[in-house]
Amino acid sequence: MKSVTGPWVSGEDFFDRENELQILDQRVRDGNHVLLTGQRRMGKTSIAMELGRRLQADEWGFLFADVEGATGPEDVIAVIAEAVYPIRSISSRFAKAMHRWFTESIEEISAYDFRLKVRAGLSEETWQQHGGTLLRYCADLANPVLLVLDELPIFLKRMLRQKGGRQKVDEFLSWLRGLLQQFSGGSFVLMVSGSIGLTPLVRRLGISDRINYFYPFQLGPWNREVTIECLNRLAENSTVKVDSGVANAVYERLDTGIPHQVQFFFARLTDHALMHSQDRVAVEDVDDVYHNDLLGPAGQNYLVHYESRLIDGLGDDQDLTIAMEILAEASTKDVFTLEAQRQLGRLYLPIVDNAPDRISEVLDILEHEGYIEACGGGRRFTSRLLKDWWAARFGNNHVPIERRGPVR
Amino acid sequence: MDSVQDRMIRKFNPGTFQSDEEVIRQFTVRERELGIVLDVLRGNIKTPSCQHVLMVAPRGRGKTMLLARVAAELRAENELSRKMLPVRFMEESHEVFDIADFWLETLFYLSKEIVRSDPDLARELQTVHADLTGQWRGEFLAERARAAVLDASDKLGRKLVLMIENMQTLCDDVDEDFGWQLRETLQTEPQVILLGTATSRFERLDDLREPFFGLFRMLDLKPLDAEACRRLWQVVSGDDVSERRIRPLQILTGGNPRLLVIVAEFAGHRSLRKLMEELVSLVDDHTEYFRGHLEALPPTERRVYLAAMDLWQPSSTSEIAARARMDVRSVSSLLGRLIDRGVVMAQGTGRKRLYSAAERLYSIYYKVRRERGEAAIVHYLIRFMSMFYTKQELVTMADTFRMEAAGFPIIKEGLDRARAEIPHFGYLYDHAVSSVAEPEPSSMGFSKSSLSDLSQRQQLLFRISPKWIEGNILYLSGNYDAAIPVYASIVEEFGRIKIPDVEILVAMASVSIGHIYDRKGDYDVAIASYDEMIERFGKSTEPRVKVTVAACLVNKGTTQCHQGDLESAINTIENVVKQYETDAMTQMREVVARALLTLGTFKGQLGKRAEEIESYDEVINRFSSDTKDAVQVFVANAMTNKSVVLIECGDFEEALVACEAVESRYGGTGEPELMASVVRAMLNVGNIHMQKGDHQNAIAIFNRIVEDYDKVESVEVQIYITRTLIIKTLYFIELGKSEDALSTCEKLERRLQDGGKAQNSEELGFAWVKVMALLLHSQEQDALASFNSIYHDFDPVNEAALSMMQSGVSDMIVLGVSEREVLDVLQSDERKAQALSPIIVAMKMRLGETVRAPAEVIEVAEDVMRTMEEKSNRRT
Repeated sequence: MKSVTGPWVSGEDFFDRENELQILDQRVRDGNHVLLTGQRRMGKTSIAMELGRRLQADEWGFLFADVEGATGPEDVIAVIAEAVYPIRSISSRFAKAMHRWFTESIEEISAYDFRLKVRAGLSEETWQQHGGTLLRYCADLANPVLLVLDELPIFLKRMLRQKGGRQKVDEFLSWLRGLLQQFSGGSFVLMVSGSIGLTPLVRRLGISDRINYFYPFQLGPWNREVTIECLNRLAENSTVKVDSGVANAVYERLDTGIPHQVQFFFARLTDHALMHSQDRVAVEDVDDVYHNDLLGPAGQNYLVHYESRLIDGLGDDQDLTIAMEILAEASTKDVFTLEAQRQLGRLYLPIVDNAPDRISEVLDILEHEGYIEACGGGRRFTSRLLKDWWAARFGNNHVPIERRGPVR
Repeated sequence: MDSVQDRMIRKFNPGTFQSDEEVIRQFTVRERELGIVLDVLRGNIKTPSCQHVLMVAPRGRGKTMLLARVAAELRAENELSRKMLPVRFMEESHEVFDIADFWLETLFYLSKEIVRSDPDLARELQTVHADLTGQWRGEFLAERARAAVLDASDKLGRKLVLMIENMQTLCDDVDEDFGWQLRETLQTEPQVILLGTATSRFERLDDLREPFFGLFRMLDLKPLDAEACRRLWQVVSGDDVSERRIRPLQILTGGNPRLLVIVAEFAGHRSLRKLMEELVSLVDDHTEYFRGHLEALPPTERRVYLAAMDLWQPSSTSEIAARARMDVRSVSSLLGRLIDRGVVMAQGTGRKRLYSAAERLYSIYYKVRRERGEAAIVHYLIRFMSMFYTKQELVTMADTFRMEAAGFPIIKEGLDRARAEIPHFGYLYDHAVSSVAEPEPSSMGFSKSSLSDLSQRQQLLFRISPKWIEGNILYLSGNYDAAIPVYASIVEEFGRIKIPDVEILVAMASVSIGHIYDRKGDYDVAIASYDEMIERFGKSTEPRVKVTVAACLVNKGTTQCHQGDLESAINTIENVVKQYETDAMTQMREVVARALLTLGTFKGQLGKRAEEIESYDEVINRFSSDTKDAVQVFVANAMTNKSVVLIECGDFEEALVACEAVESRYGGTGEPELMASVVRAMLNVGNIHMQKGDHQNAIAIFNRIVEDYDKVESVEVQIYITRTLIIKTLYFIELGKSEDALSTCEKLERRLQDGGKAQNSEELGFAWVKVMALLLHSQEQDALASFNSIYHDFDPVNEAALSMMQSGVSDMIVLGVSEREVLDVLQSDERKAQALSPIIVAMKMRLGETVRAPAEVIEVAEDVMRTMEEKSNRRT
């Protein structure tokens, strides 16, 4: 298992997620279409790839289409076509269906050319027809097929910005829903994955029903044991020796197991050792790297974005104020307790309509956006790093909620 | 040694029009970062999903060089090169506005890359590129170009490593879908690896909503550490320097390899002190470079950047806005752009966010240019660093005097001083005057008519000698500006006369002119004067003129050394030795001995200890049997200088042997200069005993120096006695013997009050030892009063005073003085405080105060603090 920060991983580099894989595997085999969500860098693509790899071993067909670069449904179909290309029985058949665009035989062209030619043959008028044909061919295969449409929300958001975007999004999702309803018996399963945003997007457009056939599955962080095990596995395979307490110390610092953060921290630790001509990573290096790299200037941008994202995401000033209250309390008191929630509701009652409901909504958003998570006593930050930074940034002037009088 | 050409390191566009061999040879630092990148690439060989890398660092940190080095590795014969192919984009990807442009550019550079290894495919790609660029309105251009690139990669059987610089500007200039479209390929196509650079960690890298969030393995190219700076310096300048010597240059360049190469190329073989003094000239030489960088910025950004540079310390948005006379909001957004360009750095967040120029020398350039060389704060800092870093690691007050006693040239007063500084001045002066003194003193008042009875030679000497004497008197009284025209009139009026006695005086007048310019610091003029003299008299066969020419050459070498051009200086001196070593004339032997001694000191300045000792041994071996005292002075000094080198190398036993040999050989001499040499050697013996911890012998020898030589009427000897007493006091202080220290100090004070000989440095040294002795004796208020008086007289421009202030303040702290009170004194005069800013900042930091100062000052202050702590540890 090697240290990787950025690309998806599979096979030997894929770590754990056994419970999640078991659930997803079962859902897929049962013919359920799945909506896989989770914060960015949580490992959605990796788990989709690993699931596909395992299904392939069981004679399933696996198609992976990353549609983040697509600007219209035509591009999405073309990307799916590229994924289909290695399955010659489908690609040849599809090439025949689009014979106007294929002068050479399928063997003479590459996957990229195949995608290009398919794309050339698609237009606003024909994409639904050809796309339907392509997916139907997939469903016709003797073995079941899993198609993953990765980063679909990014594509939809882009399309939404175009002229008549709302209608285009609706058309695409309706087309997809209609088509999938035609495939029965689990011969063709779709998994849509993407970071947060698809559900709020369709809700905002008033078309939530377009995706209600998906089984939602949210991917969370690793727990403590898995995180430490992962770090130990990385250490075993590292050229730099890593002291035994390092994994524990890293988790103590992060207090969460977002795979990318874990990998990033580990890579920083080994880089730190290499740059300082150390032949090993010591426990004391963890604090050094945490403060200088993760909380230091390099890490600041990453954290600052949590703040700016909140400002963008909560357009309403009152919601933003409430969110800042919750986060400041959670960062300084470790937990935003149910009692603090009730007290905050009472404090804001004079100035905010339905204050308790608004607080609940804001809490949902914060949870959904990955800032906080439920815990025994209420809600807490998902990441120690973010909590420490938030406390340093906003904690100084924060008066604990239970010590405050009503807001005027 | 490599030739200068070989050592030239490309400062800009490394890798462009350079062979891979050249790139590999010039790649001296950043090996660890190279290792990390190559490890990542190796890990990508078999993976279906590649790790992409982004190297982040401000301008000049070596990103392009590292890319060029990776490209060279990918072209070399190895496993990586069989699996991967570098595709290097131009530094500024001006042609890329959308994803189609990106793939077209990739196609273009890919075709260039394979033109030699696979000309057929290269031609094919060029045709596709030409075809596609011709159809810029065609549909699916991006898809087609992308497909062509990926197909080519398949055909080549190698993954493509796209090397793209300035990713932050690329992402600025393209349409909004670009990032996601590129990411799609990077995520899904294992044939494509992106190895990018950025001048800063631009915001979109860390924004969860942006495509490149978390995509890259980030590699920060940190400033070079002292060891890396040292290695790079060695490659560029050819000089092997210590970490101590490289430290100020590391601070001034901020560990930026490009700036370090610029300084190293400029440095030649200048000594550190000269280099620091001439840093402003470097700025002058590179004005175009610095200005070009400024002019590349849009006017409003430039205005903000200049304000940040002028403030020269991490400053808030509002401070920069006030300096730029612009509104805060605009400045805030312009600072963001400047950060993206990598020319400004930010630290902290929110309201505490502070900004400063990313490349350090730019602030210095700007302040020096803007204030037309009057940027006192810059000059003071450079002077401070020059003094602080040219000394050894742990300099104490005692060391200052030990080093001075051991290694510095003899300085005398009056005629003695002139004799020491103008080679053979004494001999030539005496002989010249005696030779022109043919007319009896009584005949000096001859009338004009009686002059006509004299020979032409006598008449000429009669006319020239008053001018010669006048020039010398003016020179000796320090009135250099008045002396020059007098000497010049001798050259002008008598220069064409071929009578030997006249010629020698003209030659000496020419040398004197050069020497005065040297003393005034006008080294170019001095060298021109010496060259003119050598040109005019170089072929003379008159023995005394030949000696003067040889002496003039030695002077020229010394001036070249003062100029910091040690390579030329050594060349000049070696030529003197080569040209005159077979000349048996006593005065010429004296010149050659002096030349060899001088050569040794120059080698020492270059840190070439073995060669330095060789030169001293040469003096000792060649001239030990010479019967002339004037020559023996050089032998004695060579023996003592050799002992100093041995002490520095820690070889105390050999050093002791060398010093004791001086005493046993010349101990009974009555010749004042030789006696001074003996005292100097004895002082070194005392120093060696001190360093060995042999207190008894050390004190015994100090006492013997005072007893044996107290009555000698030689200014030079008397100065050494004063120094001996200073060192003895300091030694008692080191030993913690407060009573002995104070009583020796009082003895020294009485001696100075009775008119004992001392130069300013000894008087100042006495003042400092008094402070230390009082502190050790728990008389803190008296000590602070004395310190106050030193500070009152402190002249920031006086190097000796600055040097003693640097070591004195830390010695006081080690002795437990109230740091707050010392700090108050140091800050009581604004101008002096500026000159001592690193000490003041260091003390504030020790006292836990928050300090805001230029990064350069902070780093020097940290070194000052470190020195204080080390001294303190050593004492405990």
